[in-house]
Amino acid sequence: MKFEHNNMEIQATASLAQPLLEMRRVSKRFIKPLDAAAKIAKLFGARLKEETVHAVDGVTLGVHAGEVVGLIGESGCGKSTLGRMAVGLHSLSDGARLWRGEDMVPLGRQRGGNSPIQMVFQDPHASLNPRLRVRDIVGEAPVVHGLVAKRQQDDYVKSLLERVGLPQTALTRFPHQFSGGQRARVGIARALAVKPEFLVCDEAVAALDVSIQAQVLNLFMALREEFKLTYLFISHDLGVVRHLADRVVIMYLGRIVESAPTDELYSHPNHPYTQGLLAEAPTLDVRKKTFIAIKGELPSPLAPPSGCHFHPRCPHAMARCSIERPEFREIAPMHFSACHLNGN
Amino acid sequence: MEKPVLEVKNLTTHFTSRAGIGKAVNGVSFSLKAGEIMGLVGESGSGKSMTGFSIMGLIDAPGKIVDGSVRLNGRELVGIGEEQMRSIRGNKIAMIFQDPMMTLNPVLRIDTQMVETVLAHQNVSTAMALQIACNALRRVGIPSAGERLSCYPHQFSGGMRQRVAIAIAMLNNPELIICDEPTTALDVTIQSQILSEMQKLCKESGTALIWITHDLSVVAGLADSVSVMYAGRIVESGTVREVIESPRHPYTHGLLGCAPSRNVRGRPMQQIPGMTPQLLQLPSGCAFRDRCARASELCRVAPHLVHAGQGHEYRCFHPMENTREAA
Repeated sequence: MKFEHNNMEIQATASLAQPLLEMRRVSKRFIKPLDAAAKIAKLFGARLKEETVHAVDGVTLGVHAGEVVGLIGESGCGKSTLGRMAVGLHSLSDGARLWRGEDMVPLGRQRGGNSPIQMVFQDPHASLNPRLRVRDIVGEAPVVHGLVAKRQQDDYVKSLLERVGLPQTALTRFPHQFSGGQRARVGIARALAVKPEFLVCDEAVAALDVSIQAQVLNLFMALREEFKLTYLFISHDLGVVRHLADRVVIMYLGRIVESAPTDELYSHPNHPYTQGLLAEAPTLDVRKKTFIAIKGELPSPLAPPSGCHFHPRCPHAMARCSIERPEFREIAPMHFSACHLNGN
Repeated sequence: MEKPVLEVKNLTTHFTSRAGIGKAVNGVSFSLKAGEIMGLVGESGSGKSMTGFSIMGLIDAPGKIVDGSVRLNGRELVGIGEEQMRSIRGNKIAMIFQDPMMTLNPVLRIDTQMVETVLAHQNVSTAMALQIACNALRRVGIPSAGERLSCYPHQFSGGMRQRVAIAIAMLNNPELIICDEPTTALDVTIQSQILSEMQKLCKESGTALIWITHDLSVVAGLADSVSVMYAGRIVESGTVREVIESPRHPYTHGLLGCAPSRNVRGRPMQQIPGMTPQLLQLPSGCAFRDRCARASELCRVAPHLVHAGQGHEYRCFHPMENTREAA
C-alpha cells in the first residue's frame, strides 16, 4: 500500500531503455540501539524506544547509460546516504539495487570482481590515505583486481595521472604535498583506476576555489566523453548541477520531491521547495536583492512531519498536506513532482 | 563629504618563518562609511581573512602588522596596547566567523556568554544585560528567544548557531562588523535567511559591514562596494555594479567567468589556468602574471593603482576593455 504511488514512476522509467543503475524503492534507516542502562530501565517498565532515523525513505531512481543525473538537496536530506547506497557502501534497509536489471550484491560480499560503480568523495584530504604515495593510492586496487600486472603499475598510474592533469612526478608524492585542486584530481584518478562505468560524485567540487572548481568540472566533462562514463552528481550547488547534469533530482528529507530534465526544471520548477531553492540561490545579478527566505529549517529526520515533509515550511500548504503523502506523478513529459497542488 | 567609519591605509601584515617572509596582507587600503556593506572577495590564501584579523588586532606571532594604519572614527588602532584594544574589540568592532563554534563556548549556556559580553563593555545590571541579550536574539529571528537563552550551543542547529553568533556581535551596537564567510557552511535556504537579516540589521543600525567571502554571487546581491584580493593585494575595487558588470582586472574577469551561470551549458567552462601562488614565493611585479593571458614584460614591475572614475580602481597594465558605455 505504502509504495503504491511509485508504480507510475517505475512504469515511466521502464518505458525507456533499461537503466544502467536502478534504485528501486530503496530505504535506509539508521537505528540507535538502546544501551545497557536503557535496557535495564526498560525491564522495570520505562517507556524507551530505539531511535530511528529515516535517512532515505522509499526512493526510486534510475540512471541511464551515459546520463548525468544531478542530485540536489540541503544538508541532512539524505542525498549522500543515497549516493553511498548506490555505490554499495551502505546496505539497503528496503528495496533493491539493480545493475542492468540484475540485483547487485552488496560490497564486501562479492568476490573476485571490482565494482563498476566508483565514488569521488567531497574531501580528498579525508578520503586519501595520508601514509600512502600516489603510486599505491591509485595503483593498488587495479593490481589487486588483476586489471594490470604488478610491474606495469607505475606506467598505468602515470597514464592516469596524465589524464587527470597531474605531472608524472606526482607518482611518488604523498597526499599532503598537493594543493586542494590537485588532491581532488588524485581522488578522481583513484576512482578511474578500476575502469568504472559509473561515478558517484559526492560534493566533489564543493571544497574547491571557484577558479579551480571550473578546472575540475571541465575535467569531469572531458572524462565523461573519453571513458563513456555515467554520473550521479550530488551537490547542493544549483549552478554547478545546471551546468553539468542532463536531469536533475531534488531531494527533501529522505524523499525525492521533483525530477525533470535540467532545462525544464530550471525554467518550470513545479514543487514549492524547488521554486524556493531556485529563488534563493545567489546569482551574479547586481540589482540589490531582497532575500525572500523559505521559512524555518529542515525538520529533524528523527520525527519527520506527517504527510508531505515540506508542509510546515511551504507557503501553499493546505489541510490535506499534513495528512496525506503526495503522489510522485508525471506533470509534463519526463517531469515528475510530488505535490498536492498538481490536481486531485 | 561623510566621514568614513573605518579607514585602512597601506595595511601590511607579514609572517616571518625560517623559509622566508610571507606577505599575507600587502599594502591594503580602503574605507567604509556608516551603514555601508563592503564585500571582500578572494580565493583561499589571498589574505582576505588576514585583513579582517589585522583590523581586529588578532594577529599572533609569527605574524606582525609591519606597516600601515587602521583608523576607526579617526582613532588609530595599529600599535595601541592590548588593554585598549580589548575595550574596542567586541564593543566598537565585532567579528563573525565561518564556524559559529569559534565564537561560542560549548560548555557555557548562551545567556552566560551573552551577559558576559554585555557586562564587559556596558555598565548595566545583570537583569538589564539579560534583557539586552533577549532582544538581540529576537532581532536575529530566533523564535521564543527567552527560552532559547538557557540553551547550550549544541542544542541549536547550524543556522541557529550562526544567528546566535550574529546576535552576540550586535550586542553592543558596534560601528563595524567583520563577517568572515559566515554563510559558507550553511544551506542556501538558511544562507538567504541570514543575508536578509544582515541587510536589514545594517540598514536599521547604521553598522558598517565587511563581508569576506570567496563567492562573488553572494556579494552581488548584498554589498554596496566590492574589493577583490589576490595574493595579499587588492587588485580591483569599486561599486558592485561597476566591478561585476565591467571588471577591468583580468583576475576579476576570470573569476566571474568561472561562475557556472556565466557559461553555456554542456560546453567547457571558462577557467583560470594554474593555481594561486605560494605566499613565500610570490612572483615579482604583478602576482597574477603567471596565470594571465594578457601579461607582458611590463608586468614584472608592480602595477600602480589606476583610477577609472566613479570610485572604480584597479592594478593592471593591460586592463580589460571598459564594457560599459562611456557616460
